[in-house]
Parts: sequence; structure tokens; C-alpha cells
Amino acid sequence: MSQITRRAFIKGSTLCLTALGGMRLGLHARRAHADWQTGNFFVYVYLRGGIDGLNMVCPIDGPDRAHYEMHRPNIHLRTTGATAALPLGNTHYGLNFAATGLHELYGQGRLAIVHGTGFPVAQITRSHFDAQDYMEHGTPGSNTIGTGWLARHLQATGQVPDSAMIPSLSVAANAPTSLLGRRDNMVLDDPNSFHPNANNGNVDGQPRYKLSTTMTLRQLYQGNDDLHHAGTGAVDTIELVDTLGISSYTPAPGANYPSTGVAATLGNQAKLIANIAKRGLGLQVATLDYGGWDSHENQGDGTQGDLNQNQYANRLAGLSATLHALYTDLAAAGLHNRMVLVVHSEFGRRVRENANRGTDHGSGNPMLVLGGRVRGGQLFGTFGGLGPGQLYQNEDVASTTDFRRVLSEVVAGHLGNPDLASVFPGYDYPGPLGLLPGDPLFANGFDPA
Amino acid sequence: MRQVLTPPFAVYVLNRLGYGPRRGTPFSVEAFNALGANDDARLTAFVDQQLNPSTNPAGDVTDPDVAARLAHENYTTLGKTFEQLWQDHEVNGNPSGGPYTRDLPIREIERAVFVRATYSRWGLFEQMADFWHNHFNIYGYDRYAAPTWVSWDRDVIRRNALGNFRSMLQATFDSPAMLYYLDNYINRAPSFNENYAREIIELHTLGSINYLGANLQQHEVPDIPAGQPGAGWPVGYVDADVYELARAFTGWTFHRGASGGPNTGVAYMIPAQHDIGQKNVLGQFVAANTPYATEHQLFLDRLAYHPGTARHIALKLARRFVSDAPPQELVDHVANVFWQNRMAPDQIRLTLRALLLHDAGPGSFRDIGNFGNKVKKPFEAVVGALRAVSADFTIRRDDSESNSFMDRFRRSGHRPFDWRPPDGFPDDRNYWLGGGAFVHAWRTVDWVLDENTGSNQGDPLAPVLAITQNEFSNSPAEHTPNKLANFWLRRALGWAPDPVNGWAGTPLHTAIRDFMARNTDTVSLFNPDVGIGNGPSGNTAGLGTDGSPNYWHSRLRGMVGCILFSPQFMAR
Repeated sequence: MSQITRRAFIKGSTLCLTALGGMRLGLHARRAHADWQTGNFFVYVYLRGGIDGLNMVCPIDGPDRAHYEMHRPNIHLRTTGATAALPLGNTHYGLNFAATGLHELYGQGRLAIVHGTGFPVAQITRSHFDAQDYMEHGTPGSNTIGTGWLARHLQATGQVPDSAMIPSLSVAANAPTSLLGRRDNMVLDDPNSFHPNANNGNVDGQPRYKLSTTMTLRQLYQGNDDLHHAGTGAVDTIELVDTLGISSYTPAPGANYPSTGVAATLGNQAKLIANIAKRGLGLQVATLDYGGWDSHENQGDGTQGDLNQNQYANRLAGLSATLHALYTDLAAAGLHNRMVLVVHSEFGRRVRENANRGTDHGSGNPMLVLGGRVRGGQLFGTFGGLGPGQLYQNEDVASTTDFRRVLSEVVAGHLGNPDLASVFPGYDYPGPLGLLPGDPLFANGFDPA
Repeated sequence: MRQVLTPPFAVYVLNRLGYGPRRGTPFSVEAFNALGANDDARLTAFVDQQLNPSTNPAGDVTDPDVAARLAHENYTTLGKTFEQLWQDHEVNGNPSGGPYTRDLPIREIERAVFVRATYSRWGLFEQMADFWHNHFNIYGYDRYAAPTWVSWDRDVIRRNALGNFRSMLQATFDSPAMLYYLDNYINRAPSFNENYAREIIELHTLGSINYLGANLQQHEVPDIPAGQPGAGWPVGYVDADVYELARAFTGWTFHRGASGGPNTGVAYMIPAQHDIGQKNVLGQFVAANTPYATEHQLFLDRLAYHPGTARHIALKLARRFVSDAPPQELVDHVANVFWQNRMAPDQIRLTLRALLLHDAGPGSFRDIGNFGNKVKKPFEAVVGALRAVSADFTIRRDDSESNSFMDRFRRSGHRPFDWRPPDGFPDDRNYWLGGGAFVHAWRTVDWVLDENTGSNQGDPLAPVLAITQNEFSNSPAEHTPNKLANFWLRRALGWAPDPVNGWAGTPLHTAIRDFMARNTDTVSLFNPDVGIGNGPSGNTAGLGTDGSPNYWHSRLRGMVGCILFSPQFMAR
């Protein structure tokens, strides 16, 4: 374990954060309950490209059903047959037929759906790249703050103990903007062969000079700027992967992560999150990206039996299976109550289908919230309706709930960080939607303002 | 505060305008320093040299070393015309096997770009080709991109890389790869598909810096005041401009043999699918029933000639070559040059010259204080390393060494043409710091350094031992860790802080030397002034041997690797 004791994670610090005011940060950190149960963690799944949320959660009866079929003559989800939408309890909505895993979790009361989330109207953008940038910075209409919202959470929370080995994890080659500025974020695409020594001449079971190389890298990256911190972080990851044997992992029975098809990589990545979460290394935040949602053409109408002919449903099936496997895997270890997972995307798509059985850029969109503590099996937020005068600019599902409200409830109510002013500066949090049972911080009279 | 040492001006320039110095070539520290009496004169001469590369009669940039390497029999598609590519790899294309495999063209280009970047004397041209590939990003393995990629790379990107922006925009607009990638090939009236129209405004021309948001309508957008470039045109765009342009693009597709039509890949209009109503894009009004070719010309002119496009391109070029937050005065100057020369056939060359030579004070390109404000992306780190150690490795198709190389490089997240969304690989420093970008770039370099037995190509790929033996006498007493580290630091980085002592005495030298001197117990160190093969027990074999316990040859290559993994090398 000598490598572990040598590791020099830079504790709880981010770049560029001093401007936010140390005084206030300290005060908030002390107000966090000392007896807060540590070990809660958050998984942020980002669907890049703008998922068509209306074909994930669609009206199955009521007045909006007719509007839905009229706007989407070719690609609406059916209500009968093998590819019928899966009813969400006794609501007027159903889940896409491909999302069987998510539907099961909804039925078990573990998955909640928040309708119509997005930007405040004044900051709505239909640019993928602006929208992602604003959301991941946590500052609608601006991308100049220099840090991501999750990086600011980790900085402000006071809930990351010094003993945490891996407080945050991005399963990717590069970290997402939401963790921009977080020095000690572990960025790992795959624990196999994650070290710089490709030599096949092994000595003592190790590639030749692997240990010497990591020792030298640590010596080389001792400086105190972002380049040196990045190098140190890479070496930390190399050593932790090795020392902890992270490349060796067997999921719990019944946790069937996709290993083929469009979600094969996603499945492997989610498995790594469960793997690390179970090791008790202080994981508090994990991020996962799943792209390919920019469905301008041939989303598929769902009536073909073969999912491969339904690009959208096929991709959604992969997401659903992955999240179901992750939940099952964590539940087997008793960790499902520790996790809240949010599925987010930069915008929804236009209600009216385009010329090519696809959809163009829109705005309001559902967010999914999953976890053992989540008050699931319910719809939250407001679905603005699909009728005349109800759509935003006569085109999109209305954005009725600020995405920051959902994330704020998770930050405060699950991760125990009351310092929302640091996480989402300038945001006037109207209080929880009720996604989580009783929020002890706010129940005790804490005033976020 | 940047904690790397500031190199001589030549090293900074060669790392910015290309992929780092390579000894004995025109893109080297020695060649740069021979160009004038002082840094300013050298920079001017070098930029003018790089902006005027040699070309063949067709206008393609030529380099003898690159040409010789790409003449290898494993490259079979690089000389094909668009028509040949379409016939061979699309019409006759098959999923895999044989000379007509569909994706052979992309497979060859994704490897050829390594060869060009590693061996070409025209480093700035290679950087510009990469810049435009990302600006007009297409996923290289996309349906119609893969079989035509040789033409996309040569005819669209490279032929226009230093030329006229409006011409390049037209070439992308006529490309089946682009029309497919952004869905315009099926953009039909009346419902339309906005994908291409949105991205041609947001990414290719005006950029999101000129997007006024979803809440404004066209009539609410103020005009550019009189006396300014673009006077009387709207200052920026709104979603309605996207929708109007999408209508103008309806019916614009390419021949792919549908309904008994020709299968040529040539762009054309299906009149029945074209919206013939009046339109208004960025203040350019087009009456109903205007011929589509006129309509397209007017709208593409408006996009290419809008001053917002000049600002967008100037900002992106400045971020590529100068810094993530370039001085506004510089960006304004460059934008003005771009706009004033919008009709010039060498508009981009003039723009780039202004960017690299204009002195707008601190933060301008010539300010060496910029060194370190960019970090090498994986492609730059790996190619730069190949150049630094004078590797002789022609990455190509159907070659086991090349396949091993690509397999390792892919995990860095920077495989060429493998960015799927249309915005191209990020250019900002933060994105590439750490994680897989570092580790897998290093792993790729390490593989090259070690690949010395059973290679199909040169043996070894990187002549580390030969260079070392050439520098030092055969006497083992000379091969001290101190001297080896000092020699290779100067050799791989292209400079040394002290003319006499080189890197000796720097923390970097200490770390590298310690690698070479570390005993196999990984704790104690040999005397760094005792030659390898000349020392105490356990330190008796020569530098060229590779046996237990010290594996000196492996260790020497590992030491060179550590230099190439160092922050001093990763900074640019």
C-alpha cells in the first residue's frame, strides 16, 4: 500500500474558486449537519445531442394525445400492440416501449420523472453547444464562470472527508464541463491498460519500468499549476487502479450491463461506477456521457419489431438496460439508498416531426431521477400541454421547471450541501419539488437565502 | 503561474505553428534561427515561408519526404479523383475486404495525417488542415464520408486551407459527405429539416457568439450602424434565420442512384421538394420563385461576408494559435483583415499572416509569454514525440505496427476524424488536461519507443540507442545517468537553459537522471556520475544490453519516454 500513502490528492480545492468568497463558504460548511450520513453519492448521466423527451414520456390519453398524434403523424408512440407505450401508473403518460428497465424501476417507486425542465425562458437556446455549456457551468446564459457546477458543489459541500480517495469520477477519456476546475477528479475511461507503459517485456508481472515511470512522473508533476495538477491526477489514477485492483470486478447477479450494441460502452462505464462506489473510497459524484441523441432523421416509429430499425428506441433501450443494471448492482450491495442518479440532456426536441421522421431542436424536456430514496413512481413538474397556445413559440414543450431546481434538491437533500448559492450562483431556489423524502437541512429551518 | 521554463523563441514558434521541431529539416530550431538576425525577422521570414508552401500544378501542397512515404503500396486511394472514389468505394463498395472496401479512403487518411504531420516541412499547413477539418467537422466513418474522405480532405479542406473562405464554404455545401452528415440530403418542403441550416450558421459562419437567442424575432434585431462593415445588415442571427435558411436548402441533395437516377455523388436540386416561397436570411431578402442557385448564392454570400463570420473565424484562429483568451485588439484586427479580403483568393493566408505577425502588444503571437498557455493535445503530443526522437515510422493501412499504434492512440479520445458532433474537437486547454488524454498519448509514445523487435518497418521505429551511441564514445565511463539525461533533454526538447551546463541542475534533469540511476529496488540510486557498464555490482552491463536485472536498453528508452511525458514537453 505504499503507493497509496504516497498519493498526493489535492484536497478539496478547485481552481478559480477563491473569488466566490471563503468566508461564506466556511460558514455554510459549518452549518452542514455534523451527523449527516456520509456515503451518499450522485451520478450525473448526460445525454448529448438533445434527447427527444416527448417520445420517452408521451401522452397516452387525454386531450394532449390527439395533439401529439397530429404533430407526429409518423413517429408517435402507439398505445396498443407490441410497441405500445408503457403506462405510468394511472397518469395520462406512458414510457417508451423500449424503456422496460426504467418502467420497472418506476413501478417499484424508485424512478421519478420531472416534466418540462429546461432553461428560464429568457435563456432558452436551441444551440446544442451553448445549451450544454450553460447547463454544465450551471449558469444559464453564461459560460464564463470558469468552473462547472459539480466542481463548485464539491468545493463548497464540506461533505468530502479528507480520507476520500475518489471523491469524484468521470468515466471518459476527458472530464465533462460540469467538473471543470476540479483538480482531484478521477478521469478514467477503462481501468484496463490505464498506464503509460506499453512495453510487453514484463518484469515481476509488470511492464518493464512501470513503477519507475510513475515515480518519475510524480516527481515531474510536482508543480502548482493546472498542468502539473492534471499530471498528478493522472498518476494518482494509474496507481489507484493498480493498487486497488479496479480492473477486476464482477457485478452482482441480475445486474446485466449491456455488453453489445449501441450501449456496450455505456454499460461498461456504468459498471465502473458501481465497481468504485462499492469500494468505499468516498465517491460522491460520478459522471457519465451517452451521446447520439440528435435525431433529425429516422427516429423510427416503433412499429417495426426489430429495435435496430428504430434508432431512437434502440438507443433508449441501451440507456434503460444500463440504468437498471446499475441500480440492481448497487442494490445488491445495499447502496441503492446512497445513490441518486439524474438523467439530463441539453434540450428537448420540437413537438412537430420534421420532413424525415425525425425532430429538430426544441426546449422543455423531462429529467429522470433514480435512487433508493427517491420518491419515485410519480411525475413531478408541469407538463405545459401540446394544444394551441400551450407550446413555447408554438413549437416546443414549454420549459416550466428550471433544471437547477431539480439539481438543487439533490445537492441539498441528498448530498447534504446547503450552499446552493455557490453551486448555482444567482439562482433563487424556490425549494424542493419533493423528489426526496423530508429534506433535513431545510426542515430544520435553514434559510438558503 | 506556469511552472515550466520558457524556451527560446524558435521552440515556442515551432510548437505552435506545427508539431514541434524535427532535427535536420526545414522545420527545426537551426533552420528557424538561420532565417534572420533577430526573432522578429525570423518570425516574419518563417511565417512567409510556411504560408507559401510548394504546390503541384493542381494546387496540392507537396513535400518530398511525405510523398515518398505515402507512395508505399499500402496506400491505394490517395490519388483517386472524387469520381473514382465514388465509383470504387460507393457504387462498387463493399463492407470489408478487397480494394473496393467502402471505408478504405477514411482508413488511409486517418493514418496519412500522422505521416504528414510527422514528416512534412509545412507544419503550419498541416495545422491549418486540422483546423478546417474541425471547423467543418464531419465524422469520418459516416455513411458517405468514409468512401469519399480522400476527396473531402484534398479537394475541400486542403485546396482551400489558405485560400478563400467563401470558396471553401461552397465546396462544403456541394459535398455529399456534408449533405448527408447534417441531414440536408433529405431536407424537404414543407416540413424541412433544420440541422444543416442551423449548423452552417452556428458553427461554420457566424458562430454562436452572434446568436441572439430563441426569444427574438428578425424584426427585433438591430442593424449594424452606418460606416461599419456590414452596415445595414442585422447584427446577429435568431432562430427565424435558421428556419428561413432551412427552407432555402429544401430539396438540396446528391445523386445516389435513387429511383433510377444517376449514382454519382454530385449535389443537385429536386425542385418538387424545394420551398419556392419568399425568404429572408440575415436581412437578405429573396423573392418567391427565385431560382434556387441564385437563392443559395445570395444566402451563402450573406453568411460568408457577414462581419460576424469574420469575428468568429478570427476568434477561433486566435484560440488555435495564440491563447484561449486572446487579446481583443488582436482578434479585431484579424477579423478586419478577414473581412476586408473577403473576395481575395488568398484571404485565409492574409488573415493568418495578420494573426501571427500583427503586434497588438502583450498576448500577441510574438509574445513568448504565451508559452505554456496551451497544452499539447494527444495528436500533437504523439506526433511531437515522433519528431523529437527522429522516429522513422510510416503509419499506414494493413500494417501490424500501425494497427498497434492506432489501437493505443484511439483511447486518448483524439483519434483523427472521430468526433461525432458537428463542433469538432475542442481547442481549449482545459479539455485536454489529464485523464485519458495524457495517459494514452504517453502509452502510445512508449509503445513507439519500445517497438524494436520483429517490426515490419524500421528496426527500431525510434532510433534511441543509435542516437545515443552516435553522441557518446563507446567508453562505458561516458554513459553516466547525468550525461545521458542532459543529452536527451536537449535533444528531445530542442533546447537547454544553459549553453554550457545544459539542463544540469534543474529539477527536470534531476528527475530524469534519477530514472536512469534508480536501482532495481526502486529506492536506492546508483552514482549518477558513474557510467553504465562501468559501475558497482549490479551495474555492469552496457547500455545496449537488455538483460536482467537492469535492462539498460529498456531503461534508456524509458528515460526518453519520461522526458516526452514531462510538463516541459506537454506545454506549448
